[in-house]
Amino acid sequence: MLNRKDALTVTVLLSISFIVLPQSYGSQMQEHGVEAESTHGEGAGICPVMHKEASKEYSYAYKGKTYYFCCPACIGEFKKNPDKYISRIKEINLEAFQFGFSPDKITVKKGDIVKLDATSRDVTHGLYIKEYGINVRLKKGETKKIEFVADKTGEFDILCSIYCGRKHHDMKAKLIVEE
Amino acid sequence: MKKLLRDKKDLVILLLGILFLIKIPQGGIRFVFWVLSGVLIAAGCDILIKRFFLHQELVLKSAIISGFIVSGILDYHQPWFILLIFSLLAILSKHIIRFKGRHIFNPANVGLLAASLFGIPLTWNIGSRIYITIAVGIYIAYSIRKLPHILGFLIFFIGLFVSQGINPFSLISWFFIFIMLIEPKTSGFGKLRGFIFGSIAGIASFVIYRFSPQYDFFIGSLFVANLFNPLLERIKK
Ligand SMILES: [Cu+2]
Repeated sequence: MLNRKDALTVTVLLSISFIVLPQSYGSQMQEHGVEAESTHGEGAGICPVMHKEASKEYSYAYKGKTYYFCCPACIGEFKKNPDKYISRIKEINLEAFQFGFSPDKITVKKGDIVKLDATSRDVTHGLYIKEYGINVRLKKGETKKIEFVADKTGEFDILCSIYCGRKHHDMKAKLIVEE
Repeated sequence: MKKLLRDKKDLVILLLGILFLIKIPQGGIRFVFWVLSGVLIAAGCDILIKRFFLHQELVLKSAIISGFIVSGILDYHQPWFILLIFSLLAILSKHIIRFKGRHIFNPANVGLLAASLFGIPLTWNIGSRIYITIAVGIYIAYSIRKLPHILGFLIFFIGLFVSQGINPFSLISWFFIFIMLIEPKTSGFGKLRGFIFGSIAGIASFVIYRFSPQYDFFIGSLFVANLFNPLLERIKK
């Protein structure tokens, strides 16, 4: 039998790790993906030129759309050939439902900026792409904007990370990043 | 056969084995190794602790069940160390977190709760066949006298979800109810106690789903119900 003191120490350590680690993991989770719409209001997403986090301070409107950049130099660069950069932005509406995703296949090129407008048709689902460190909760009636740079080639599973019923484990879509 | 099934744990292992086999065509080779490794890790860890620390006799059925549950629910695309950590944690919790000489938390559930808190997706692969789970589950629940637990859970689970306009049957996990909720040692005996235990879990599952669905609401709800065990123990049978 472990003695009382040991047991207590281990229990305390476990509880602390339960509380502290998820939080640090949570911040890690968005390492690659930038959740544009966070609780702090709408973010600026990813700079189409440098692929860094953009700021609202540096914006440029083109053909009725506003683009955000990470620095003034990038705006200059963008202005030289806007269509070149815009063609590398892939905007996709993704809907989760019981039990699947629509569309169930997303194909992009390596280096594209992928912008997902994700929502749920019914109950709460989770949008999970392990290799891109994305794990976002999708509630019915709420649209989450998720942005990331498709910097790894291959076929990646898009899974549901929140239990949503009998065929939860069947919820699957593919992210295909071509060379 | 009759002798084998007298201990209901054998029946649970049999059911888990069948659910596992059914899932293999879809899960593939990685799923097979994932689940078997989970069972081996859990059983191995239990052997080590019982043999060298507690000097107890080796009864491994519980550890095998825990291993099946943890590995069958965790997403099997995760790295192997994830399986190792959370299977070990399940067994360790059983030997470490104790109240009056008994463990009060369902071991597999502790492992899965930790995984859920870390943001590891729980895909519940093993819980996909509902008819066999319900059929065998009702028999198990009846014979180990756990029907009050299930009744309490269902009343609140169904009631609360319906009140929010959500179809409870599209969300319910029968695997959770019949395999995890009524685990003999951590759910308590007696009609009233069982009913209250189930009710707490039912209410907790709804609250978690409603307010922090990023944590698995079944796993979370069982943890909450287990927390009440020291209190519920005061209820006379
Ligand atoms: Cu889902």
